[in-house]
Amino acid sequence: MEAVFNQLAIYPEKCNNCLDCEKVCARIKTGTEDSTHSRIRTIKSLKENYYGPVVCVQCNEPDCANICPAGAIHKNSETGIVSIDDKKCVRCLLCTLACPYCGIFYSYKDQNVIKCDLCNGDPECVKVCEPGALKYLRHAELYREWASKEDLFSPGLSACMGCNSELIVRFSLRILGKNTILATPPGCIPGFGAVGLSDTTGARIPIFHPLLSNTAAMLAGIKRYYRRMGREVYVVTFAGDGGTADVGFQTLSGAVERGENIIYICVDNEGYMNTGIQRSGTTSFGAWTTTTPVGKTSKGKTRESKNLPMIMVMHGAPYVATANTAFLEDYAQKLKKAMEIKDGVAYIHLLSPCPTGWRFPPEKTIEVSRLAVETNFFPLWEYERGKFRFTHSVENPKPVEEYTRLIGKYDHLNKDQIEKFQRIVKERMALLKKMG
Amino acid sequence: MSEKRYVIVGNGPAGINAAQGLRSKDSQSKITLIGQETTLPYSPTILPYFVSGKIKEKDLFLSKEEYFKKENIELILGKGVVSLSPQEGKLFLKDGSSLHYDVLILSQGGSPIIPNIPGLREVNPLVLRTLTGAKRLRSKALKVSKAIILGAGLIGMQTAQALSEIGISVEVIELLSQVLPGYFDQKGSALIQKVYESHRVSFYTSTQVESVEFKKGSYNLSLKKWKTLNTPLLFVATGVAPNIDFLKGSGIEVKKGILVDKAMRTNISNIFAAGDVVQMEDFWGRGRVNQPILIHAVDQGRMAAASALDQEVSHEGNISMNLFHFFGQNAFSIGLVSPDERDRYKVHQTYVPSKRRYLKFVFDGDLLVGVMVINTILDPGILLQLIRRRIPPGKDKEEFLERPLEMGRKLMCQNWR
Repeated sequence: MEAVFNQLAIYPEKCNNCLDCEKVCARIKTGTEDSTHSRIRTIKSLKENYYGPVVCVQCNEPDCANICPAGAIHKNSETGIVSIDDKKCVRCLLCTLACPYCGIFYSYKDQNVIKCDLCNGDPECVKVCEPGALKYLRHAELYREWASKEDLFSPGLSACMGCNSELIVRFSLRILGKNTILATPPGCIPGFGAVGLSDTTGARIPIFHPLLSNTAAMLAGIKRYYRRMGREVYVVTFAGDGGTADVGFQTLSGAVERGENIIYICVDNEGYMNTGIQRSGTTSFGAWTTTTPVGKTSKGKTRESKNLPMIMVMHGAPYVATANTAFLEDYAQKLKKAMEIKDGVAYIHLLSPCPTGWRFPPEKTIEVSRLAVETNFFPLWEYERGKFRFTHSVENPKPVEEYTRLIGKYDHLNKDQIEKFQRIVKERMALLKKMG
Repeated sequence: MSEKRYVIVGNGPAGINAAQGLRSKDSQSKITLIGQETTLPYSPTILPYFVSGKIKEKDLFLSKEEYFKKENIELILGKGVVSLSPQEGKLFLKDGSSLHYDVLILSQGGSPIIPNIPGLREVNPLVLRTLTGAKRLRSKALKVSKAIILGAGLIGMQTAQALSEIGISVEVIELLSQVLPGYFDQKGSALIQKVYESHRVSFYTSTQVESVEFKKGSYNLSLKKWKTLNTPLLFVATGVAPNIDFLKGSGIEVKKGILVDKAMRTNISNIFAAGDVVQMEDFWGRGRVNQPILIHAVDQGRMAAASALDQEVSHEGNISMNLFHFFGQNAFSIGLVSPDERDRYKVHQTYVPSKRRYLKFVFDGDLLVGVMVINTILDPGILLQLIRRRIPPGKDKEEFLERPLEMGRKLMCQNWR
């Protein structure tokens, strides 16, 4: 496995040249605010545009380290930080010739070679960057944490090509861990073989197949039994949108109202996909399904989708969130929060674009997922005991047409329908903003 | 990937980088690094700093022994290679043993040239290429009060600084009319020379040594035309020649060095070469050259490894460059800094001798082809990339000349970050 590391990301278009990053860096490293000591440098006094700060990118095969004749520069194999050993450095400065990013420079004042060391994994410049031109991406931590955990799903499953449900189960189970009991009501996830033969196929944890209607009730019973026996386990379901918003809604509603302690993950592919692509309560406006056909009179679904995560908020669930596999870091944090809830239902509504039922090429799943967020069709947010917040703010949302254009089930949408679609997105967004 | 045995001859920077490049992509195969010296690998570039005492012997090696164990790179130290048989895929070592290889990378570097001056070879002057040589030079230098250096190239100049830092006075004799020929123009080298002169180093440029003799602990040098100099320490730095003697009869094509193509391949399919030992196309297509400098050795070592791993690579050709830091001052030179065809190239320069500052940009049309900088804060790595990637500043050329530091960074952000 290739090594991956956290990264300092630069968004030059956001930089307003306030120089705070230089000042804080100089202060942290040398105790002065003289920016000549700073390891991060902004590009100053040009006629047009700012280009954001320049700083070491902590290369994977750092040329500065390769060239250093004193062997004074090393990349740490755990943290990925490229650092210079000042005691070994002979000031030949060949590293400054080898580095293509001006990540390492000679400080005339201090007579030494300086470079960013990411403040040992907690960069101060990021904390003072108000416009958000600097961010510290911790994806690598998540990736390493994820990779260090056991895959609790057997190799081989028969989901449709491009479906993100495999990613969902493998990713989620690694986070949930072995102390989990899983229910998968009728739908695509049991359909691809989640309930298997102990350890050789399917999930490698206790898993069962409730009815479409009684998932939440069964999980509630199991949880109560385990509590009574003195064992804390996570009881979790991956239920489809049909099993959640329609057929299973009554038991879910009851479980939330009673404060049952379960983690309910709705894998929403906006329809009854494994039974022949019929409409469900969460099928979006205008979408083609086999029961909302497109022909001379019918032009796809006429009704708006049921806004299930909002309904869960109104039900008083202690934790409700939306998530999306294009933003796994965000999903992972939400799943971890759900695991901390001990006094009620933690509900996560997870988007699962369906290449087969939505009619888009299988390699586009993540792109579709991402556009769902970037158009505000599927905003990412969480609601935690009365506190609402967006977890991924979209400053300039793209027109919803960029999303619908990618997906075959919206191919027939006419101008009026697109406008209505956009209006629904805007109205729902406005409602969310009011909560925030 | 099937397991192979990679053998690398020479454990200098090119060899080490080749080994690391191989290991980063192939965790299984056997990698063997053969070094002529008995010590752990080091970079010859560090040696002047050892001579001056800036770095101690224990600190000058590139990696510790554990590193090679951890990376599973086998080191065969203290054994020179005497011959090579590509037909059998075998190397023969000095101790009579032989070694099989599937893929061979030749990076055995070069040796100092002793010029053909009557008497010079016989007096066995000091040179600097190995740690043993550096130790000899340092111990001698600590006992004397003056030294003479033949050659004002980079090694000559860096050694002059090292000896001056030890506290002895140095005389440098250079055949050509300036110091650091090739890297700096007359004006630039004059600035550098002045700095040296303020640190007990004097120069005889355009000066030819006629003969050398050694009598009663003193080297006596007769200079053409006018004078005789004597010194207790004679150091020669008149260039480096590739170590290619053992390749005689192997069928590997050599001229001045081992001839390689843009993928560092020799004429034999499973043999690659890198570093000071090669002769390859220069960046401007002006023929195959041997440029024994560290940055090329590193690049070529990495590239030879990639090529040996069947990755498609293409070296864009050597760009002459160097950078050095002397007596707290700073100078670097990249590319064509004193081009001959004056009507083809446009030169922009800022020359402030009072502040020992000199800045020179050479353009070929829109393209930057050469930079020479003394005591000016710039990013050498960025300027190198502008030349190497052939990125023209375009409509921003004027602003580039006004603010090369900021504009270089802007072009970096726009083009390759």
